[in-house]
Amino acid sequence: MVSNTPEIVRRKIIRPEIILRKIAVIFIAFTLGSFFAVSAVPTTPTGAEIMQNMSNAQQTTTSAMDIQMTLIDAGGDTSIRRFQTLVDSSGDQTKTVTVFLSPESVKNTRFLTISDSGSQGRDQGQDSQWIYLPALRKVKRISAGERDSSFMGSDFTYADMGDIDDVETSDHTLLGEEQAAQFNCYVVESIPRPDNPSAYGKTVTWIDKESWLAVRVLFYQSDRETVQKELNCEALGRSGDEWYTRKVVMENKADGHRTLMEILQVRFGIPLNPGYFTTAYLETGKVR
Amino acid sequence: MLMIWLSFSVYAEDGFTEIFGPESQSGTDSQSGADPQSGAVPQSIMNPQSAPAQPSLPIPAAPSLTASISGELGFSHRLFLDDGWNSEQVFSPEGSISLLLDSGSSELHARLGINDAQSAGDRTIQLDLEELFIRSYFPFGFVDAGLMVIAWGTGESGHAVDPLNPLSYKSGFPDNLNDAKQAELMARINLYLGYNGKVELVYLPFFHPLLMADSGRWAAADTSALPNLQDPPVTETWEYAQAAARISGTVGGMDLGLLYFYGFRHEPGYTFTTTFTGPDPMDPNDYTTTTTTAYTRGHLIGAEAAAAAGPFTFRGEAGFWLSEDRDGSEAHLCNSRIEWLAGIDYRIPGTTVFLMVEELGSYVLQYDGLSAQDADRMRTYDSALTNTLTAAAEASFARETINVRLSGTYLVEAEGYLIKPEVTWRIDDNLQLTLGGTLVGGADPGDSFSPFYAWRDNDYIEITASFLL
Repeated sequence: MVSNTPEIVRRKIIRPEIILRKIAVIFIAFTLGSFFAVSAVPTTPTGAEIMQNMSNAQQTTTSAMDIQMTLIDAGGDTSIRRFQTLVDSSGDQTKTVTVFLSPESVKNTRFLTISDSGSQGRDQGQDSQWIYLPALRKVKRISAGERDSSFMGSDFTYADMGDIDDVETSDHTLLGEEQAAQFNCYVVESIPRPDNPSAYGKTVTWIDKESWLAVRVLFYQSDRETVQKELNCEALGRSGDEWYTRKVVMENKADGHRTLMEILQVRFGIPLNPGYFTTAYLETGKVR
Repeated sequence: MLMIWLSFSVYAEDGFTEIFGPESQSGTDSQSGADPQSGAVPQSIMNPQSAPAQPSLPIPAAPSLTASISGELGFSHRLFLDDGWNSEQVFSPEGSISLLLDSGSSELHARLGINDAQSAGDRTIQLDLEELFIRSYFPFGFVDAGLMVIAWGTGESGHAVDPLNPLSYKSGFPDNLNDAKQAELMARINLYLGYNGKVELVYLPFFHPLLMADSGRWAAADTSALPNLQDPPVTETWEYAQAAARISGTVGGMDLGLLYFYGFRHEPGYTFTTTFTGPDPMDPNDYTTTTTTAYTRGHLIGAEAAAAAGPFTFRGEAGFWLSEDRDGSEAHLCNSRIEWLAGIDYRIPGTTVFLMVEELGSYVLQYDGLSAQDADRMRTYDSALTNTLTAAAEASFARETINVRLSGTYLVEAEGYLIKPEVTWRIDDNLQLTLGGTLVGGADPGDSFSPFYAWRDNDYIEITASFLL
């Protein structure tokens, strides 16, 4: 704003302080203008924000999945693992019940986990787990599953199979944006914090911008340089408003073993009878 | 007959059929971008307190009757080690087949055991009906009745509070405790308590004792030393009826159970009756001693618990057996006693290694002054206290295709041991090969009874092939 003091108008003399004031005003105007101009352009999310969005995208009150895993060794021989799982996170606990359908050695084995919400897959001390062994017709309480051990002999660990860890357990850095297969992705590097040990030294995740799902993940060993496993999404699926990774392949770089995991059927947000998440259901396979 | 049975087509209903439909008819319902939800949500899967606001699901067709067959068939070849190159080799077919018929609200369970009935080179197979019972579901629980095996207690290697089924040691010490349990005719009512608790009421119309071989390689006691042993009493009568009750559930982070049993101990006692047969009362040869078998009735009050903390699982049982022989004066009856079990499981973090240790103990009351023929004296070793330690270590390798297990049992007072190493190779999802062995032995128990000492010449190695159905 130009200041027209009566003195300047009357004297028509350019005084230094007036010039400086004009420059200051012009600068302020430019600065304010630039500020408003910048605010109108979307900012790139941070790595933590992207991972939080991905975590949020996977949250659902209930889910039911029919899953088939195909284990493929380096020679091409395959074996099938089939199981169905129900998850109920609608209350203050997360309850999961799983029934194994194949192979024969575990068929009709049923597994129940009850966790305080937010702790599943992370703090084993807060999980209660039971297993039903059909050969014994008996339900047994067991210690919380080893997060870092192989799930049914596959290339997935129990931690890989569980819910995504709390975003705050790792430091996340946005590395950039890339195309991964047909997906347009953010690329985020995640390094576990010292007080939250992980089986992996770091992970690099490609997150699809549309669905906020991980479509490619590199899992590094503790040296953070050697890739231990690689996961690639071959197909996404959509159930109502929910996106999910319908088909993924996990490859173990050390021995070339691969695991193809397919979600054959899925239901999100359906009402589930709480009777499924009980030892009575484990014992009988019948829900009240 | 077995092959004919297996040739019937079976239709298995497994998994959450109310949600996904029958396994045999299920397929993928989701394609990229497709919405699979349509149809009505079955009432049986809904929380009755929530409003059904979700899009409906297709209603799977309700099957009228489904059947499933499971089990394993195979054979073992056992080489005993007691006589060098002249040691006995035994080839045995083995396995079990389970049948489940399920109508939705009721079930029939049957299990056949396949054992070797071979004698002197004759290749015959023996089919044993190991279980046959029906189960019917009601809103408050379920009822089952028939020839059944019920396992109570939290222990892995043994139990202090598992009184319903007798054990069989006719073929030595079993690989799996539950394999040694003999089915009993019983009826059980199961009443739900909340979602994780139940009350069980059990009635057994008669009684069967512990089974031991009285001849052959696995004979554990020389009953021929008992003078004029009479046939055991007929125990399939109302006089030998038994009953039990148990309440179990989850409290906090623990599984708890309380039980009461009124019935018989499975171990026999003996009555020795000496009769004068004349003519000379001063001549010992004119007396005849007869041995009769007796079983002790009493009450068992017990408790069990299991809890997990991190990679540890803790198991415990405790029971008080109140004998009908209250003052311990009847030699043919077992005295009252206290029994307990304590065990810990541990999975080494970051590995597939699983460890288990258990201690099973018993303390006989009114032990002092018992005669050598007393039912309790025969099974203890100059001490009212008997302890059995069991430990096992197990690990899997190569994506769970190789499993290695080493287990051992040690009878502390009897100084008896049993060691079982084993390696299992899962060739594929249906076929597995097991190489294992048993080392057994112990100190001479004198007048007492020690099965490990009796079996001290029965060390063996064995290879088993099993096909999983």
